[in-house]
Amino acid sequence: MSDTPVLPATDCHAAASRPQWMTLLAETPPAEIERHWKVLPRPTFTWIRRPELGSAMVRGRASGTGAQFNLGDVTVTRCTLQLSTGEIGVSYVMGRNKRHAALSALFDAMLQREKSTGETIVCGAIAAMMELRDRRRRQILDDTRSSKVDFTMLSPGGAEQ
Amino acid sequence: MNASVISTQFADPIHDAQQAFRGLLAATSRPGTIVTIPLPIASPAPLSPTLAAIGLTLLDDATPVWLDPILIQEPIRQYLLFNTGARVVTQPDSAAFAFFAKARNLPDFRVFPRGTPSYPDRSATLVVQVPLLAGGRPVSLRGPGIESVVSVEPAGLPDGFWDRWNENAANYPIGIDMILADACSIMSLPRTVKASF
Amino acid sequence: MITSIKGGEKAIDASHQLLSKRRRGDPNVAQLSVEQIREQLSLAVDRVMNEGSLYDPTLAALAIKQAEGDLIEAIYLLRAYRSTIPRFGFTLPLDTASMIVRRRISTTHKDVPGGQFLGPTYDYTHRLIDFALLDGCDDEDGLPLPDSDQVEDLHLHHDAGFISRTGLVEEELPDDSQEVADITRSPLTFPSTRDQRLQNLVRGDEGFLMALCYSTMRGYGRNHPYVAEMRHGDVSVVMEIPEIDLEAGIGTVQITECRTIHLTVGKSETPPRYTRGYGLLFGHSERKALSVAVVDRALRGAEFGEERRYPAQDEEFVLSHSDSVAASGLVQHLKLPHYVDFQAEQQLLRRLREDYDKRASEALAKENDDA
Repeated sequence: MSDTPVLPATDCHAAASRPQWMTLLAETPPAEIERHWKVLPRPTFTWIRRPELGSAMVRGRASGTGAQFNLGDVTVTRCTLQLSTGEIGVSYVMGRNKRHAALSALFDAMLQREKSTGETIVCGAIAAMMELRDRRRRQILDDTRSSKVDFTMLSPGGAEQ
Repeated sequence: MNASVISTQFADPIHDAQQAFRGLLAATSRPGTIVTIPLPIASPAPLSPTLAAIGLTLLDDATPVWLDPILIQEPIRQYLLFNTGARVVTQPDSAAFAFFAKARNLPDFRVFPRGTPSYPDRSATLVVQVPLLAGGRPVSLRGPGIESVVSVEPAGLPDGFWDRWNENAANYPIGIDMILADACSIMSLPRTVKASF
Repeated sequence: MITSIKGGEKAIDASHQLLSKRRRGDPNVAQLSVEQIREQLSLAVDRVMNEGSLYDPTLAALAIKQAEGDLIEAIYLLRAYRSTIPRFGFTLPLDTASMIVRRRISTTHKDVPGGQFLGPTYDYTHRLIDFALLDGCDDEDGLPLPDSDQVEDLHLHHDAGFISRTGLVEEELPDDSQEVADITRSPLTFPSTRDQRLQNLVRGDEGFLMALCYSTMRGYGRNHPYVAEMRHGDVSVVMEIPEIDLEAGIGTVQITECRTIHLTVGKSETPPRYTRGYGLLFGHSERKALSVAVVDRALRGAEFGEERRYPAQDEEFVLSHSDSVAASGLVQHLKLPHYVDFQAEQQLLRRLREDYDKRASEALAKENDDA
């Protein structure tokens, strides 16, 4: 892929730990993961747990800082698989998209494999997804910044305080 | 995580679990009847396939499970967590289910939750492995779901078991329920059943 | 007494067909897609997710479509669906301070650290019908906003940092020693705990809670709130993945968080101070978040030695009647056949009437005798 940054193997793999790439895969739109999957060499794998749908109860804290309480469930799809080379890939992704869960688990397993082989093909895809996530976040924050408001109080005479 | 441990589910997880549930329901509504249920392809020893089948069918994340000293092993804990979501607890009084590899390990039933008069359902079910559901000392069972009397002879129960059982039954509606299992079948003893011998 | 009745199968089938027909409306008008509802009626979707207690915008949109826009019916559909799927576990508490902020305001401090951002809000609209939307001319409306060159994240700390330092505001510290109550698994008990209440209020009917909030402001329970902070944005949902004993994100949710403070004189042995109310909701749900926060505070009266005099302060009244699914179920069952109950009551009425007539004629006879 032309837009995949080419990084030295060590840097690429140092950029994301397993929880970080699992988080990223869960937050990346399935179509984007699919786009990378299309050009990757296909691994062989077996299912340990086929994609299945359930929920997770989301918790909050009173006032954001205090004791915990249950807010409500989110739908979650999860699966577990094993590459023929032995690595076990796991995914838990919000929503009901089984393909999203399957690809996330495959990427999880392939990234573990790459860590031992030193390759950077899948890792490069992760770097591209990370870049895209940063861009999405920046877009939201740019929108937010555009509506920054400075309230000023007027004294009875009308002068600003 | 070890794939060989966690991949030993039912061959057909949904339908086998449904059939096993139907079997457990039949056994409980007709106490003393021996019912065969589908078994998983394999199970982490020393958890027998029958106990594993009962676990896969009845456990979920809302049913804390207690394991006897033989069963309390890391691969079994992982197996139950992965396949059912059930957490293993060390305090018997917080268990919804308790699994025993040997009936001889059965402690005083009162260490497990037995419910309250308002909530008799907040009680534990004990799942107990026996060598065979036949060939032991014959006992007559009476109670709801039994037309008049049924004779059973599960082997491997400790001395005084049926006296303790009757004590449990005498406290109805408070009490524990029990499922006995051998290599391929189960028999259910709800707390409504009284034994004479 | 509930008695079963039989019959009506064909009529019920026909009724379902009529429902589909009405749901489709005029076939010459293009059919609504679930995506359109999700993207263009997002505030309705957010309400259904909160009260349906399931965050899944596409499913909530589908429920709205199926219910022809009857949100209480859609909420019911979502609740029913949730009860059919297994729960894989519980997430870590949301870290709302790390929110990707879309909107953030404070009504107590104009110079709140990090700044105030209006974001999308109806607060400053003129409430005039926009006829441009009628012809679908709004497509060009959104002016592209300039990309800023700022790259740093907008991490806005909670107000806690600076107003708490004054010592005048109740501090809420993490306490993870207690098991967290879950009213979807174990029913409410009284006296209730705050975790039970906060969960109940999120699921509660927005109209009911807003009316209760309104009642406290009109004098039925003095409890004047200030909105220390209202924020809305995206937060990561993090869960412990049981297979690998690691914590990882599973996606993001949009949430609205409202933190209110209330002047509380309290018991004689505690100093007067501000105490807190809190509302945390899925999606963008400010009216509800504010109502939840004020009702949450009203229900904390016992903690501060306050007399319980008004409906909003009465936990049994509030928590037992907040749920629209429960309320709608009992209210709407009145439309089902009650033939046997009614017959029995009629018999009772006839007996009462006979007694009355007898007493009346006796009284009349006595009057005549007396005369």
